[in-house]
Amino acid sequence: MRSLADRVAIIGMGCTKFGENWDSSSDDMIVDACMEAFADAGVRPEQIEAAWVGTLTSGVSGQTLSRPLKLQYIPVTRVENMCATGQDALRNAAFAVAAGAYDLVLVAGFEKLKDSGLTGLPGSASSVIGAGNTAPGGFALAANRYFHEYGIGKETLAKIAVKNHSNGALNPKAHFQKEITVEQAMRAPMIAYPLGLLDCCPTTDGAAAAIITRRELAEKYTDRFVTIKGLGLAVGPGSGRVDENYSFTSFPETQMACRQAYEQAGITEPRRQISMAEVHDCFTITELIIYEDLGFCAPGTGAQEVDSGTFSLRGELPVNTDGGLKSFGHPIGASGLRMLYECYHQLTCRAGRRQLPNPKLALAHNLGGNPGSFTCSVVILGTPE
Amino acid sequence: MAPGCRAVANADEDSLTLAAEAALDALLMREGLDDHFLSAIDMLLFASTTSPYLEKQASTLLALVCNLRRDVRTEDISNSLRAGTLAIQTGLDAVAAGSARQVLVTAADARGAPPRSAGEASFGDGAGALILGKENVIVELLCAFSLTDEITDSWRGSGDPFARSWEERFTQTKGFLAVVPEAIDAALSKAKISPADITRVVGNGPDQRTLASAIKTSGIDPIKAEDHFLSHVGNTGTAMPLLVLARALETVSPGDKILVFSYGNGADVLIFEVTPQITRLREVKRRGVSHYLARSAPLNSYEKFIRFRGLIPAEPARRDPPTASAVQIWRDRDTIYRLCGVRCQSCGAHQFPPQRVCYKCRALDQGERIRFANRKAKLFTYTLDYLNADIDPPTVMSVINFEGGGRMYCMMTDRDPERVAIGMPLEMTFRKIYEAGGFRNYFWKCRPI
Repeated sequence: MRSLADRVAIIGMGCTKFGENWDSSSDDMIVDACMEAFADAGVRPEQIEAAWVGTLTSGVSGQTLSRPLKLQYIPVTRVENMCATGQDALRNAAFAVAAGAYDLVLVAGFEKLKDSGLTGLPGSASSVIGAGNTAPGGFALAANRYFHEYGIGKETLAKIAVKNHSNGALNPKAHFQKEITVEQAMRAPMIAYPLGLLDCCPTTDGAAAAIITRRELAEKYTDRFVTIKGLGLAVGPGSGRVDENYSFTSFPETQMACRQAYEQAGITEPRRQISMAEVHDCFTITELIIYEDLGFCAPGTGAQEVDSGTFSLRGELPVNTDGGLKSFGHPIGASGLRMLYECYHQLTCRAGRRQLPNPKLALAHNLGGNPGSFTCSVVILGTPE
Repeated sequence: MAPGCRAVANADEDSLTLAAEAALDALLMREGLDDHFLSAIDMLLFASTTSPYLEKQASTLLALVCNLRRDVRTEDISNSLRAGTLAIQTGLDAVAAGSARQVLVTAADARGAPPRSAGEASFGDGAGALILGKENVIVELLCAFSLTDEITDSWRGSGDPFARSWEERFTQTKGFLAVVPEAIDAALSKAKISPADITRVVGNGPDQRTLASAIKTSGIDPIKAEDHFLSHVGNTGTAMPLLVLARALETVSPGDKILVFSYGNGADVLIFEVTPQITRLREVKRRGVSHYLARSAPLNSYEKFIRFRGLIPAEPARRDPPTASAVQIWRDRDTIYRLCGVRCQSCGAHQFPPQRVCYKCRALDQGERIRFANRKAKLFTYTLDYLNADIDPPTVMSVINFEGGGRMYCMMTDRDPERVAIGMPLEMTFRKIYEAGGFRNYFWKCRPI
């Protein structure tokens, strides 16, 4: 099995402003994100040979991308893998490029959540078995168990929200560009105990896109590109709510997905080797558990690291420098690519006020599902060799 | 209005789930494992004036909840507050005729009355269950008597959520106080028993005073009337005779003669004699009426009460409403109604809902059916969810680990959200989950013990 490392390059990316985009349709956001990516890569839409598009519920089939862009009879595939949809679209496209099937491929992800009038995600119970499940409720199960196991409380979670809001305040494309305080986070209205409003990512509209090519062709288009160092995808058996030994305090899907990606990228000491990480902080508790599952710190020690600022913008290993899902927002199909958009800009030194000093290796972690039943993608990008 | 209180079904309870609760206690399913069908029950009767359906049996669903065999006779008996004693008589006849070895009789009501009416204050929600049979009985039937009486004293039209009644002076004088004594007199003379030989009286009636007055007319000392819980549980309708009889059986002695009557478009009178087997009832761990009276929780909000009853419109949650498929429920009926999961015959792992491929050893189709309904559990983790659409928020979503193995993700009911804690002991109870697909959807929830 050949490693995928350094065989595929991202040569251009685009991302809309995330938020309550009342004035934009899905098509508008797809056009905006893709046109930014085309301009960034210096390619024309008609040069694209194939495309992959990801959305959870905002469109069906490849036509959801070909229609707004007027792509002309090229292969387009729709990808859906829960909240990990965006990165899985990239993963499938990267395989096609690595295989040599296409030289220039478009990847897009989008979600239009604010047209529904619903609070939270669309979708309803279709069986009494498991009825009552909500996204914050599912993650609150992990939070209460984590609190019970490790004796921590809401304050650690509040600090994670404060960090991500602080980063998002520096990001003109973020849904929320406003700092918050620990006290505000602690006192926010309860959504699913112990998770309050400010422990939850918002319901957001947005789109993001990437143009990829083979590593050896990248320079033909641009001199500022990044390469894919590793692609991991772990889809769990979904037995956490069946298996009485499932802990709810760590997520094996994250552990398995990063193991795949670390191996490809030659990462043995993630905390030392990785410059920055964009992780799936759909809820603050998720980010806390992710630190541990990615091997950034030992199980049960996440709270201490939060207290010491390890993961802050100017910390040892900055996490969610763009604000994360918490502050940048979470249009499902777009989120995985939005993370890569930040990694790409950091690695090509275009992250503005959030720019880290000389990052080499960036990790993006995209998680779909509920504790007990996840789909997890880990993508590692880096500066070209 | 006299001071007192009444029993109110929780927002997720109705006559069917109340009957299920009583039946599970009667069948001793609250204790221990039960991995096989109850072989001797040949008939299940459900008596109620407030069945969730006018067309579709509640008793068929109850038969699954009680884990009965498929070849049992199920009947719903309705349209009269006398339905409970009619069901007992039907069951006794079946036993006497040899067409059923044992009969499970359930009676339950959760009646509606207009807001602020006398009925709203005096009705109570409740259920009772009895098992009838031929062998080792704790009470023996001496005599049964019924009469029919056409009178429009209380009624509920189809489509009307509220029970109605005519003016009280008429209904008592020409209805209850005339017909009940007539039936008791006839039964006593049929059985050749003098009123003085009756030691306990169980019946139904609008209030304790009227009830006592009816038996006094028949020459029975009104002191022999059991406490019918009318001041603190309320008029439980169809369920009342079964509920009060179940309570009386907690304290009767061998040789006691119990007269059970019930009124509603006529009257039924049943006279039983307590056998020495009554001591057996006390050896087994049934919870009985006292237990349920003791575990009641106060509902001090009238607004909450009328919301539970669906009498005030509420703003729907901005969430997609649930959907339901009759096909899926039919296919999963053993999972949903019997609460059956599987035990892997290769590695022994218990799993709910049933998995074809074992989550632990990945053996294919090695699942042997096991039932979780009677198992105790402990809370592993939980959330108090305010986002989920719930008539009584928060929804307490729970991950529970069963004694003996197995885990389930389900709602917790009959709980005080402030007292929910990891590790708390739980048991399973059958409840209404929501209306979807145009019908009522039921499933099991956990609740604190």
